[in-house]
Amino acid sequence: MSYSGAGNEYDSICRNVNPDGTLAHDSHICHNPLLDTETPWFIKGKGCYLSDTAMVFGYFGATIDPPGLNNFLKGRAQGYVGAGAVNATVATQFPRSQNTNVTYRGAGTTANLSQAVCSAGPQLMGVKCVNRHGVQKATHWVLGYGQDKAKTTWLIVDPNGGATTTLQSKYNNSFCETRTFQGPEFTFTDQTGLTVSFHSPGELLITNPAGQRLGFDPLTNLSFAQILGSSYNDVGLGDDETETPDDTVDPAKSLELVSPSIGDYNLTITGTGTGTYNMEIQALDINGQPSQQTFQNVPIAPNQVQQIMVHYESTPGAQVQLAGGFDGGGQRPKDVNHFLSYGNPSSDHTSLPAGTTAFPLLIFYSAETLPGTFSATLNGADVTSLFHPTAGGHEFVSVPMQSGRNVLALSISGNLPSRTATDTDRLTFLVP
Amino acid sequence: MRDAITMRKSALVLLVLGLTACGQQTPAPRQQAAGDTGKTHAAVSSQKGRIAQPQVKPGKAADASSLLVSFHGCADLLLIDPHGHKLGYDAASKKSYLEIAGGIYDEGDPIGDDEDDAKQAGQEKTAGKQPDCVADKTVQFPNPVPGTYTLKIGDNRAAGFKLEITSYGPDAKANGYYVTSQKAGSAPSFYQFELPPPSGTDFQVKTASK
Repeated sequence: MSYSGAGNEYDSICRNVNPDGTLAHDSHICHNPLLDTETPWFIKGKGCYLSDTAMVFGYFGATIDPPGLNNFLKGRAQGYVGAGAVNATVATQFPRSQNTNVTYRGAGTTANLSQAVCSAGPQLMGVKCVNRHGVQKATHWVLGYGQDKAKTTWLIVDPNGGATTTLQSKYNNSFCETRTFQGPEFTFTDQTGLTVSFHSPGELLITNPAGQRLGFDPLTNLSFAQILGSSYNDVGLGDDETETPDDTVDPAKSLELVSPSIGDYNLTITGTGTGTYNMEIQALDINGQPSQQTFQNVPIAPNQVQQIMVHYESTPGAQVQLAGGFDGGGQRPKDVNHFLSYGNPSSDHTSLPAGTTAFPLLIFYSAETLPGTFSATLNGADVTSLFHPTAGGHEFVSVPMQSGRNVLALSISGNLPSRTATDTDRLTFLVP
Repeated sequence: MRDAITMRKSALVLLVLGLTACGQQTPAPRQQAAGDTGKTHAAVSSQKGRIAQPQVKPGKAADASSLLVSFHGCADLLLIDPHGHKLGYDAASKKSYLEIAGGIYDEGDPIGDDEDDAKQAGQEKTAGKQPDCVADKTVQFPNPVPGTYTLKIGDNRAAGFKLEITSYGPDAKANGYYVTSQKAGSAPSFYQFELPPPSGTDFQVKTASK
C-alpha cells in the first residue's frame, strides 16, 4: 500500500496538471467532477502530519491507519481546515470514540520537546522550515519518539519513506516547530504498598502473612517470587550512557510489594560480605501516605542472618511497625515478650567465631515499653548506658565480647491493657 | 511516504520500544512468579528489571477545549485574548505574535509535497479565479482562558473573505460555531466573542469597524 490512488485522496484538495503533463504543486479545492486539468493530492503527497497523528493515536492504543484517519476527518465538519491542515482537535475525537482520551496540546517549544516526549509520549516535530513573517514554519512533519544515548539527535519516524531514522541523518538535526499531544491519564485505584530499600553486602527475603516468599536466600542459593504484584531487583543506578551499573559487586536492592496484605511480614537479611548496611522500610497507607523506618550502618557478616518483623496496616495514617524476629522467649502472655525483640541474634544462644570482640546487637523496643525502666547487664556488670531505648524504636548496639561465655541480661517494663509487665531476656554468646 | 507498510511497522515498533528519551530501556520479559519452590539465583537474575505494576484506572479526561479560526481571503489575522496576549500577524507593524500558549498561526498550504523534497509549501487553496493575495489562514490554540476575545482582520480586505470561528469544548467536540462571508470593501475590522460560549444559546460574535 502506497497511500496513493483512488481511496487515498487527501482532504479534498487538488493540484493542476501543467500543459506539458507535469504536475504543479499548487493546492486548491477540487472541482466536482474533477477537471481534466487537475488531479487530487493523495495521502502519499500531503499526509505527513496525518500519518504522524495516526501513529500517536496508535501509540496510545487507538489504532488507525492514515487512510482511516483521513476518512474520519473528511467525514467531520472542519476535520481539515484551511489548505488541507489537519484539525488536531477534531482528530482526537477518534481516540476518544475508542475510550482513549488523547488530547491535543497545540504548539510546544522546541526547547521543551524532550520533557514533552518523556512525560507524554511521541510528539510531532516540524522540519524543512521556511521563514514567514519572521517566524520559522515547518513544511514537513515527522514523529519524534526519543533521543540517542548521547542526546545529540532525535530518533524519528519519517512518513516520507516510512523509515525509523534520526533527525541528524535526514534533516541535519534541524527542526523549528512541535505539535504536542497528551495521552490518557490514570489514577491509582490502590495506593497501598510496602518497599524495602537496601544497600549493603547482603540479600533480602520477605515472607508475607500467607507464607509466600519474595527475594533471595544466599544460604541455599534460591530465589523466590511467590507474591503477586511484587518484585525484587537490583536497583543500583547505572550510567545511562555506558550502561555500567554503579556498583557491580554490591548493588543496591529493592523489595516492592504492591497492594500488600495486612499483617506481619518476616524480613530476613542475610550477609554476603563483611560491612555495614543501610535500609529503609516504607509503607504506603490506603491514601498513599508514607511512613518509614530507617537503619543506618548496621554491621553484617557473611552468612549472618538477621530477622525483622514488619507489621503492615493500610488504614489512613497507619505507621509501619517493626520488631525483631526473635522475641527473646520467656514471659507470658505473648505481648510481654514483644517489649524487647531482636533482629540479631535470632536465638538465645549464639556461637561466635574465635577471637570475636564484639557482637552487633540489633534490638527493638515496642511501642508499649517504658524506656526509663530499661536495664542491661553483661556478665553481671551494668551496661545499661550502652543502650538508648525509645518506645517503638530500634538501635544497633555493639556489645563487647570476651572469650568464653558472655551473658547479656536485658529488662524493660511496658504497658498492657490493664497493667504493666516486665520483659526480661537472657542472651548467651559463646566465644571459643 | 514511499514505503507505507514500513511506516506502519514503525508505529508498532514505537509501541514496543516505548520512549528512549528518558533513558528507559526495554524491560526484560516478565517471567511467571515461582511456585512453592525457589529458583536458582542465576535463573532469577534474568528477571531483573521487572517493576511491580500498581492497579490503575483511567483518570478524568484532560480538557480538550480549543479555539479555531479559519479564514479565506487576503487579510492577516491577529487574535487578542482576555489577558492581552496576541496570536497572528499584525500587518500594520509587520510583526508576528505567538503569545498565546500552544497557539499556531498558519497561512497558505503549510505542508510541502512529501514526495518532492525540493518543493516548498505555501501555495494557497482556492476555488476558482481569485486575486493572488487570497490564502487560507488558520489560528488555533488549546485551552482558551475564559473571557472576551478580539479578532482583528487586517486592512487588506479588498477581495472579501470567509471567516469561520469554532469553539471546541472539553470533550473535543464543537460547542460554538460562527461563519460569515463578507464582500470586498464592506467587511468589519474587528470581531468580538466570549469563551467559553454560553451554553444553550447561539455563539454570539459582535462586529465593529474600529
